[in-house]
Formats: sequence, structure tokens, C-alpha cells
Amino acid sequence: MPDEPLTILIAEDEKASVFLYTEVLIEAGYRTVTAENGYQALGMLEDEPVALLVTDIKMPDMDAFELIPRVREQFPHLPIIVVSAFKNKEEEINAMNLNISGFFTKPVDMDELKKKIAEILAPVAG
Amino acid sequence: MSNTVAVGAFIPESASDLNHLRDQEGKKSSNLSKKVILILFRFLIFAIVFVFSFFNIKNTSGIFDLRIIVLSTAYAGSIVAMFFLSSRWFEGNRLLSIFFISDTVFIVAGIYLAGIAETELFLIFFMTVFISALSQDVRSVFSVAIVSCSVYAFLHFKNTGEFWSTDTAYLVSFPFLFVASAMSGYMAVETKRNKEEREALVTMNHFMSAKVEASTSKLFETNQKLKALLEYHNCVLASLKSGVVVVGKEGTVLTFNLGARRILGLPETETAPRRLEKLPDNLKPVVFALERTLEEETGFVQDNLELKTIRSEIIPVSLETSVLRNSANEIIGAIAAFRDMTLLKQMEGQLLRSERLSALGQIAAGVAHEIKNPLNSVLGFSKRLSENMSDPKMKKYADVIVEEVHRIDTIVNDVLEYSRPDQVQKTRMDIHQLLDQTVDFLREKIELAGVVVERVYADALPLCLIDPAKIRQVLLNLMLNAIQAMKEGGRLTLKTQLVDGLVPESAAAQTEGDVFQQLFLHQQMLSVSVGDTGAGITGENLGKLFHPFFTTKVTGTGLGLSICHKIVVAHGGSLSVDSELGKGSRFTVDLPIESKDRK
Repeated sequence: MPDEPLTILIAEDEKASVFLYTEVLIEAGYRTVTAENGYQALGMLEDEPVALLVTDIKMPDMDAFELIPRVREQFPHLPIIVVSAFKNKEEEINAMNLNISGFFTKPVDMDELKKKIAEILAPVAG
Repeated sequence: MSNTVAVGAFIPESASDLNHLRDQEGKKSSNLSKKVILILFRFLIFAIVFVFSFFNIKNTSGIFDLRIIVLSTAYAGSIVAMFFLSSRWFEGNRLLSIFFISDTVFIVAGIYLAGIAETELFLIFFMTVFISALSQDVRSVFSVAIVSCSVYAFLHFKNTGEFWSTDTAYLVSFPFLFVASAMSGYMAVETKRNKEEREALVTMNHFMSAKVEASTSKLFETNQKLKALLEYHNCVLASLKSGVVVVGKEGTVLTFNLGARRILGLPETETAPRRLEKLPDNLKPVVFALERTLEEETGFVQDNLELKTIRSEIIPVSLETSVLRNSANEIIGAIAAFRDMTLLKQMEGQLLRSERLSALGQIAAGVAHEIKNPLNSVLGFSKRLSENMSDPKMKKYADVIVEEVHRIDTIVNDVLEYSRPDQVQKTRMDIHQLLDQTVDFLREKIELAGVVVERVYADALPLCLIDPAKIRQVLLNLMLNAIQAMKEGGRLTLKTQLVDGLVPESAAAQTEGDVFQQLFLHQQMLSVSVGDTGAGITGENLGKLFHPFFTTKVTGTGLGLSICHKIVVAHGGSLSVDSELGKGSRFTVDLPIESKDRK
């Protein structure tokens, strides 16, 4: 583990899910910040350096379909992992050509998620 | 003449043709005889005048008088020339008059030159008058008479030195000549009229026969047209898919078309019964409708009628009746037309089902989202519990939660899948490759159950236009079912072959406008069957197999086969099952090789 933990931004409106991700990711040695919708997430990204974004699709006020293109404008290389209740949303996201690093369907297998994040962040942490 | 005109009025269009005919046949002969008569007559005059001149010479020069020779030669020459004149020339009165007058002049000149007493040759003038009747014109006969009288008087003057004479013979000659000319003129005109009447009759005859011929051919033509019309009428009736039954007012069956027989499954070649009462019992509702129409004198529509076919199948039909009227608007019978609505009802059912599904889909999607979000944390935390429990009992509890969460997830996914609109993305695919991939995927489960896989693949199968992911899902589902049915081991038979099948033309894709005109095309299909040697399915369960949520398994959602069925139907194919208790079951997927989607 590096001395300075990498920050992961979690955009998710479900409190229980946020709690789960936070617990698991902190345990895995990351720092987490959370946002309840797209607007908050954009604000967080501007406030501090974020290594990776985990975002739910369906969120109030601004969902992932709106959030991700906006993030890409400012942070073209930020790794993004999308989580959705629906399997078929993956096609929609991929069709938008937004360079997504991973897609998970709820209920998320947390081990898989951890593995994926580690893979993505390994070169950064390296 | 008046007859000709009258006939002419009868036949305005063909008169010229007929006249032409008449000219050709009639005139030729009459003109030829006129010419011959004239030549003979002139020859006779020539002979008489010459002979008389020869025997009654008072001049010294006699017959050798040069003037007589010149005159005779000229006259004889004119007779010879007549031979070469066309018969047509003798038709005109003007030429004839010239002949007659020149004859008179010749006679007079001959008499004068020979010095014969004028009274002796007076009779010759009668001859010229008579022959002038050939002209068939009173005027030319009279002019010949006048010329004759004049030259006769002139001869008398030359011989006696005075015009007037007390000689009775001389005086009587003039009225005689005129009476004779009047008589011959009258006869000539009469003859001409008779001839014209005869010609008119001939013309009439020609006209009549032409008319008869024309009307005969018209009759033939009309007959042909009538035949064509009748055939057309029969073809229309026979080609109609609708059933058409027409009855007369007294209940005689006038039409009982092929469509009606086909709908009812009656033999197609049988002749229609004569009476309404004799129509087959299957047609009873139609017969009632026809009777009611005749009784109430008004047609009606009956939409939800059911007819029983000869094979005792109930088919929904839409019936419409109307009264049959003739051109005088009198009711002469009743018409019943009925359509087989089976396909329409089926499609209505499909439409209803898809509407229901789409409503269900929307609800399912909403519910799924609401369920999956809590499931996310429940699963995550219960897994963490399981991992961190030191007490094996507690760990076991947590594991149950994890398993049950997975089950809920499966159910939600199945409902989502089942209620999703039928959308297939087809690509050309080798079905054997797909089968092998699926077997490989299930390898572990197959070995665990002690199942042997038998492949009976057809050679040289064409590539199939399918959605590989969806068909893989179907095959996976069918194979999983088969493996689960053979807990004590058995044989999993995968068989492919080409079969003949019926494909709805508008499979999967909606056709534009004619949704209900669904045509079934005969075409080759790819048949894939998955067979097991398991326990088999009871007859009771066989019927409910494709019903959503029907299951015989403790852990199943009952949506697997429903989803398979839906996917196969979306491909324009069919999914069927045959099973024997204790021997096993076989599920068969028939897929069209060529997609008929219009996109």
C-alpha cells in the first residue's frame, strides 16, 4: 500500500450501498469521498484530486448519462466504473463511447469490484 | 331508281361496297350484250343499205360510185373499231346517241347516194328508233326519231322538189315513227326499271346476307364474351379466401364457392347441393343468416360467429349477409360472405399478450430497480458477515442470506428478461459451433451428473440468421433442464437437421399496414433438438410447460421455458416438446434459415 491513499469518488444515492462501498474500499486501503448525485460529484472532482470514480447510473437531478460526458470534458483520463441495476445499461453506456473502465450489475460482487479497482489503479500506485 | 335509293337508305355503311359488287357482276354482262347488240345491228344496217344500194342503182356510176365506197368503208371501219371499245363506253347515253344518229346519217346518205326512193327504206328508220331504245332513255329515242323524220323529209324534198306531199304513205310515216319511238322508249325505260329492281333485289340480298353474317359473328363474339365473363366470375369466386354462399328467393343454392368449402374443410370437388336445406350441417349458422336475410329483406353483420369444421374444429368467422337484387331492384335472393378469423384472433391475442408484456415490462423494470438496490447492500454485507463470522453456525446463517439474495436476483432477472420487448439482433451463425460452446460451458455440470453427450449433426448445414446470445440462452436453458432431468446420469442427444416448415412472413418484424394479412411461407427450417433420457413429463404438465411461472423444480422461477419460447418465436421459429414418461423428453427448436424480416 502507498503512503498516501488514493481517493475514490463514489456517486450513489442509495445510502446502504454507499456504506457498503465505503466500508469495503477503506478496508482495501483507499480513501473515499461520496456524492449523492451528478452535481455533487462534479463539485467533488473540482475540489480535490480523485484517482477513480465509481458511479451509479440512476441518481436524482443528474444521472450518470449526463455526469460522465461532463467528467470526460475536464478529466479525459479519469478511470470510471459504472454500477447499474440493469444489465442492458452496459450496452447503452458503451454505445456512448465514453471510455468506461468497468461495468457492474447490482447486486455487486464486492470482491470483483475490489479486484477491478486494484487492476485499474495498479500502475498509478506503482 | 326509287328502290335503289330506298335500299341505299337501309345500308348506309356498306352501300358503296355492295354497289361495287353489283357493278362488277351486273353491268359487265349487260354492257357486253349492249355492245354486241349494237355491233350486230350496225352490221345489219350496213348490209341492208349496201345490198339495196347495189340492186337499186339509178346513178350511172352505180355501186362503184366512189362516195358509196368511201362511206361504206368508213362505216365498216367504225363497226370494227367498236369491237375494241371497252364495254364501259356503251353505258353512257351520249356515245350511244352519237352511234344512233351516225347510223341514221349513214342510212340516209346511203339511200340518197344509191338513189333509192325514200319510202322503200323507210322501215330502216324504225330499226334505228328501236335500237336506240338500247340507250334506255326516252330523250335519245325521241331525238333519233326527230333526226330520222328530218332526213326523211329532206330525202323527200330532194326527190320530189317539195316538202309537202299528198302521198298518204309519206304523211303517215311521221306519226308512225313517233309512236314507235314512244313505244320503244317506254319499253326501254320499263326494262331499265325492271333491271334496276332486280339489281336492287340482288343488292338487298347481299345486304341481308352481310347483315346476317355480321349479326352471326356478333352473336359469336357476345357468346365468347359471355363465356369469358362467366369464367372470370367463377375464378373470382374460387380465388376468394372468403366463403361465399348465394341463394335464390325460393332457397335454391346459386353459389357455394371453394372458399366456403376450404374454411369448413369440405371436399373441394363435390358439387353444390341444389337446396338451402341440403347444405352441410356445419353451415347451419350461415343458412340461418341467409334465411333471416330473406325474411327481413335486409343484410346484417355477425362478427363473433363460430363454425364447426368437418374435423370438429371450432373456427371463429366474421359473417356478412346482404340481399341480392336484380337490375329492377327486386329482391331475388341473399348473399352470405364469411371470413376465417382464426389468424386475426391469434394476432389479436399476440397483440394483447405483447401489450400486457410491455406493461408488465415497465412494472418489472421499476420493481427490479427498487429491489436490486437494497439487494446490493444486503448481499454485500451478508457476504462480509459470512467472511467475518468465527462461529460456524452464524457463518451458515449468513451464507443462507447470500444464497437467498442470489435467488431473488435470479427471479428479478427472469421477470425482466421475460417482459422485455422481443428484440433480436441477427447475424449468420453456425449452429453447431453454438451447440459445442454451450456444451463446453456446461462441461462441469455434465460430468458431475454423469451424462454422456451424443451429437447427431447434419452435414453441410447452411449458416443460420439468428441472435447468437439469445439462441445460446435457449440452448443453455434446454440443456440445463435436460441435465437436471438426468440426476442419475443418462444421454444428452443434440440433433440438427433441415426440415420443411411454415414460417409466418411477418415473423418478429411488424409488416407495414397489413398486420393481419399474415402469410405463412413454406420454407426450409433448421431443426435443433435437445433430448434427454430422464423421467419424462406427465401429460398434465406438458400442457402447462410454456406457461410463465410454471415449474416442477424447487428452485426454479418457472420462467426459463417461457423465455426460450419467446426468444424462438421472436426468431420466427417454434419450440415444441415431446416426452414419454420414463424414457425422456425432447425439446425441438425450429428456426427459419433465411430471415424474412423487412427492415
